[in-house]
Amino acid sequence: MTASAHMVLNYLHGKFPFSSPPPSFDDFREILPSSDILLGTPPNKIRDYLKRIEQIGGNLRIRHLKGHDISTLELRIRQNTPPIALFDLMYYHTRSPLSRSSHATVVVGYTDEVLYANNPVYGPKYPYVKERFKEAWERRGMKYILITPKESLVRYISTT
Amino acid sequence: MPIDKEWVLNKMNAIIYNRFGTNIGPGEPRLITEISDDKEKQYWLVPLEVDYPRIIEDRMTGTRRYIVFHLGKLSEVKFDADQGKPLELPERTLLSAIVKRELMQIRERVEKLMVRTASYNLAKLVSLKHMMSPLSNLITSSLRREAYVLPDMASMRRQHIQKYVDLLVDRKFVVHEKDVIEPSPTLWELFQARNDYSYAIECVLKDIIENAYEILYDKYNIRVLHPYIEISSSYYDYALSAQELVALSTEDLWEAYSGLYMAFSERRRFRFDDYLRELSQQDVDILEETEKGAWKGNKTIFDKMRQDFPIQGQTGIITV
Repeated sequence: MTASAHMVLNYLHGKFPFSSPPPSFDDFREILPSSDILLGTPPNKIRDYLKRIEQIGGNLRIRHLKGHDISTLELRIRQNTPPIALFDLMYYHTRSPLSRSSHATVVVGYTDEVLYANNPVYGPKYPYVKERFKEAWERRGMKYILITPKESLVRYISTT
Repeated sequence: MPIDKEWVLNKMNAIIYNRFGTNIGPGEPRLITEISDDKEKQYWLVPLEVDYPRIIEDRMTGTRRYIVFHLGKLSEVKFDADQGKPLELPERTLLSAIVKRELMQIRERVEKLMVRTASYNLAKLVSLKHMMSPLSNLITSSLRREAYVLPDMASMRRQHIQKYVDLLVDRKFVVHEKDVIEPSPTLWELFQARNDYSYAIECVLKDIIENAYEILYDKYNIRVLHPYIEISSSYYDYALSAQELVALSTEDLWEAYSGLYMAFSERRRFRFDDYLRELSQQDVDILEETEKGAWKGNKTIFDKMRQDFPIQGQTGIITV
């Protein structure tokens, strides 16, 4: 979850530069409570964690949304707001219904057959077969997170 | 009519999303009935279960494995089945303490198994032999002289070696009477098998490591072996979870060790390379440095450990 959030931060910095670059991932991890290593990060806490980073605090909008189809994720990619999708990774690969955890991945592109994800485990352009991804995503309620600059910041940057 | 199961599951998922973390998920809810003051009341009990992920990269093949340990139920949340309200939520600190305990239990099982399986290899560590030289001296002298007179009880020398005498007596390698020690029949047998003092000493050390490692640590305060066991055990813990003799980079092995044993310290990091060197020495052969500068385990040790350590609670491995 935090690795995905950090990836989006770096992406945003490339598009809408913050006053200074985002912290390294190791520095970002320092913000997290130790219990996150064992329990995973509660997605709803991402806003609080990002606020703690001085140079971007308050400049970001975090939305927790629910998709209805893969096309939702594709739309976000076309809008240049890469979504962080939460899905059942083990189910995607093994069809095992035993898994309880949610895996977060940043969806960065797509074709007719696959979604490309910048995955902390597999690398920057890992292809997920859409149909199977959809099933694994459905198992986690088709939730996704958007991290975008606040409207005012986008306007400010676009006029300077 | 009680609220339905789907509703409770959605509510539980929302709580997990907001408060607990992505490694947690709800188990199968159960509807129960309790009687209080002659009134029946229904509740949903939803288990909180945890999957703990681990990523292992093999430096020789470049493959990555994503391993998930299904550690099972951590706690349970009780919902009022009429109103759908959770009655009490566990503290996040409590949940993380339970996960920590579960992981520590796995770590301890691997460690005990590693100590048992690789005790003879560990007995060949030069640092151990050096630290345990009083013990070697006692073995050699008692075998050579058949009866060795210990220094006077009041002397510094005696105070220094007494714990080693006690250890040898405890493990039944010498017989101690007044100020004299004599080799036991077991020690004689070990020596006569090869007529070799070094072999006898290594066999005694092997026995002590295998059967009295904790006593060595706690009672005799002999802790020289500790980092070697922890580092080796960290490697085999990862290899067992990957179900293969993976090649770990020095950095990944350090991460594994410091994560499993909470061993973050400059001093330990400074000595880490040297521990690895000793563990990979020809006679010790617990780890092996591959040509790509990564560390691999010993196949005989791994196969034996794998036989005795059926993977439990592991949901699966994804290899990419």
